[in-house]
Amino acid sequence: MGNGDGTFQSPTDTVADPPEGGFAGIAAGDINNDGWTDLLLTSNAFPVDADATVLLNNQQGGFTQVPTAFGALSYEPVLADLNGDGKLDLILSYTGGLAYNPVLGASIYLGNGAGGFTFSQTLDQSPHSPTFNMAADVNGDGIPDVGVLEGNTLAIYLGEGGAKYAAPFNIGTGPSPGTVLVENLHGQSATAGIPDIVVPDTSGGVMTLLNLTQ
Amino acid sequence: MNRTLKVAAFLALDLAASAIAARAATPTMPTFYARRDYQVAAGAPLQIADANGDGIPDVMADGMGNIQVLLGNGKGTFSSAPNTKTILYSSYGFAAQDLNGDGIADLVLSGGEFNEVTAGIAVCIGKGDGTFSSGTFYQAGSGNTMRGVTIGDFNDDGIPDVIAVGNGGVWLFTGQGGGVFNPGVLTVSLSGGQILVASAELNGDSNLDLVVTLQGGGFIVLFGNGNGTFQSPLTFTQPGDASGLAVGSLTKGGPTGIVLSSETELYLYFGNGSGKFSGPYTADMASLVAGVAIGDVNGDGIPDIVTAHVNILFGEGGGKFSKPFYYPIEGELGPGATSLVLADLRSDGLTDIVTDGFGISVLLSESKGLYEDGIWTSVIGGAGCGVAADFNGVGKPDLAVNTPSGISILLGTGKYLTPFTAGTNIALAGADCLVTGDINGDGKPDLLVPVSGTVVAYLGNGDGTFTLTSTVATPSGTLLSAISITTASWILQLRVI
Repeated sequence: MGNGDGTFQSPTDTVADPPEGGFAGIAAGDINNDGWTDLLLTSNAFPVDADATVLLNNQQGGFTQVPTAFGALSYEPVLADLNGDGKLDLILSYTGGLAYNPVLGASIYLGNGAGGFTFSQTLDQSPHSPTFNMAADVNGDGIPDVGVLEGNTLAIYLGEGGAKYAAPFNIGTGPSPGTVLVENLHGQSATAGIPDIVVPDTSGGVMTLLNLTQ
Repeated sequence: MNRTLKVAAFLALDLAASAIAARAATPTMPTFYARRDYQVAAGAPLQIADANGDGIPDVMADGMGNIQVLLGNGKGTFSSAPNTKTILYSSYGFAAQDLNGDGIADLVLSGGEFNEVTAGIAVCIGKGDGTFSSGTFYQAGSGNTMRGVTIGDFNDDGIPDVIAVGNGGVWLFTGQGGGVFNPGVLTVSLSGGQILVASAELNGDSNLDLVVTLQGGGFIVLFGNGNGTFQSPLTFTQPGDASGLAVGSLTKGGPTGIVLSSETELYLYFGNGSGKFSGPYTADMASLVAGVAIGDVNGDGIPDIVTAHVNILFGEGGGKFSKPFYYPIEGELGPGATSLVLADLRSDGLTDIVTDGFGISVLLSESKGLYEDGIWTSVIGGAGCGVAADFNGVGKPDLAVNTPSGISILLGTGKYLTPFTAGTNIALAGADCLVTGDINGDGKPDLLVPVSGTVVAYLGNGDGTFTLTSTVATPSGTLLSAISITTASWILQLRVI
């Protein structure tokens, strides 16, 4: 907990029974539309029953865990309202290997606004494991699009509304991309206009993919 | 060069195009200043020719006898045509040319018909829809492995012939016309292995000549007699095993030269037009080179040299070349770019680059050596992850990125082709992915950085610099995998038992 001056109180355990392998990823957002920030975490590794963890903010400095039955061996969670119903939805990357999980790729779960998520579809099923996902409106039509990073290629799925997506097209990043940032670099506020894509690269730089869409 | 002006013109063009497209049922296609990638079998030799007769260049890749075609739309983007499975069990050499005069590209592949027991070439006739016939096989001896292949008129009868090289030497398949060939004849017998072959006129007698690279190192030049036979080889010992070969003029309007690649080096031989060569002149490219091509990529009329990865040596005239300019392509997951082709994909007079790094990558030229491959801002040591915020309060988003030695700040400029300049560096060994947010409520973005066993807070000073404020210890035996921060100032610690 922050003290508001840049210092912090001692950390406290929040999840009573964390997965044995720890957590692999975290996303923050108002999952249940109560105005308070909630959290979603994915498990890191075995045991195979280590599902994703949804933590709803109890508005008293703590979290209430919501039972889940998805998300084992997944990482890179992204929370965004993909189908325009005002409720946060979820993108996960699966590492594969579990029969009951969706196949390797970026899987979309639709949120019910109460902490529950229902599997919708898996977007990327290329032979390469997706390493990072993003959600942003890159063509300015008001519908969130989804980007899936695999290797040094970013596959962009343009949203058609209702969490439906067109066939992807691929743009190249630098040789060894790390994360993907979505940021408007045109001198406007970060939330204005059509975003650019910025990709830090471990080979020695940062790749900026300018969005020239008008 | 007025880069800003040029981009502005590009934007105006794009605006007009999107206005015509208007809103349709399918989503508006965004335009990125970025390389376009297409998934095909990696490491596949490439050719560019018109596979469907629409006058627009298409890209063909040969994945061990399985032909994948990307049909061009004339605007620099491509759609996939159905694959063609050829009769070859394996394939090494690949050439495309219209052999039967119907305006549609045909293919010649070299390799083995079945598990390389029977070697030769397959000629696959284009059907006009981006697919090809599975091929007619022309044998070349027995038990030989066929490697490089090239198409040309080697007997001066006006009909394209095929030359293929392999274990036994140089095989000639004379054309009968209409895409039909005669069985292979060993026209030059050579010991050892041959790998790559290229044809060009090298000695001024108007007969097509050959350059053949040799397994184990070196290459030979074979001057053609114009009747399908060749003179005794001219032997060159450098480089070692060549992985790339290109022939073409290396000076403005000058005689044909030879460029070879081996490991991380380029080897240049300048021709005098009468069969003599000077060289090698070498250029260190710092990374593996593989495929190489000669062409004027910056439109100054002087040939440049491009490698598959993509490094460009810009010709400066008189046989001088610039240091390599790197256009980052190759991914660490990629098997290594082995093939590239240069072509004008948009019919705008500019030379575009197609390479086969991680799948097929297309770099569209914006003229003067500028390619739409993203904007690269160097960060010493590289950047693993990062966050964006306006750290210096000038209204343009900045970046804070993790580097091996700590945190680097990149200040946003708001300019298209130079989006960031270097800012301050924070030394912090072992830092994990950082987050940003206003943790003290002063309206200036701050940084939180996980380091093994602790989380370090840096308060933003509002000018792009930061002040170390606090360090929060996390329980021993724990690993901070990820943290998240919001306006409510939460930190979440992730425990690994």
